[in-house]
Amino acid sequence: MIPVEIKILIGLVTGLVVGLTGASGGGSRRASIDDDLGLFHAHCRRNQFVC
Amino acid sequence: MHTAVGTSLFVDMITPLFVAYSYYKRGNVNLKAGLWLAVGAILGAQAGALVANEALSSDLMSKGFVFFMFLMAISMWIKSTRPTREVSDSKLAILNWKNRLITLGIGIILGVISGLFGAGGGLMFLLVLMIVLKFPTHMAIGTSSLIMALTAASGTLGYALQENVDFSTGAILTVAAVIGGLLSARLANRVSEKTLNRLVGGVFACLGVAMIFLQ
Repeated sequence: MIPVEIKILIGLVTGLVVGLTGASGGGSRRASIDDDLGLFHAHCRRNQFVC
Repeated sequence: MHTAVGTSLFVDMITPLFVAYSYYKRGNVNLKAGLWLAVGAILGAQAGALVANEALSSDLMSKGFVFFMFLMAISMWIKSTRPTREVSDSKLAILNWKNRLITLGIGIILGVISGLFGAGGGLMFLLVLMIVLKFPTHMAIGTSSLIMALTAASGTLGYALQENVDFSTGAILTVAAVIGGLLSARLANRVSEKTLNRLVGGVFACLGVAMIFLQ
């Protein structure tokens, strides 16, 4: 499991980027909240709109 | 993996909504254009993601994302050397039916690209809003945030229905992201357009370099 402190840090950085740029930096963040803390590949990220 | 994407989309849905409201309070969101762009993007993204599954390699998409980052960084720095734009300078300032269709079309095209590259779309929307539609930077960022919230909402809904959203992790990330987002939006709304262009360009350049090393 990701420690709460790291989750808060990821969230803060995400928010700072979104608020300043209007873009989410979602690709890089998504890689850090994988289910088992591992990285996952871009082929998973590109499915974000496919439900 | 699906939970990671679903949870991330949940954060992408809530945070930009607060950020967009912060820009909206300062008159920096083109609500009507944003909504038409978002509708087009939601439709286009579905098509783009389907093609991406068949045609594009992960490596190509990652490189494409980095390319967009640097393109945006360079554009912002060039823009910071030019005269500040007024809202009335922007195309689509008057949203008649012709402009609505144009906006919808742009949304669909960006949605397809977004689906192809797996990006949230904020970066490309920002690029088009600023360079093609000539929006002032503050309004481009505010409108882009609104579009991002809406497109992410469409994805989140689907993932949530399949129980692929970790709401406890999502809640922690979202609370922190909203705090960070409101702080930086407040800063962005206070600085001049030129300063904001340089700040945003710098952030994109850093993210681009970081992504190269992470790859």
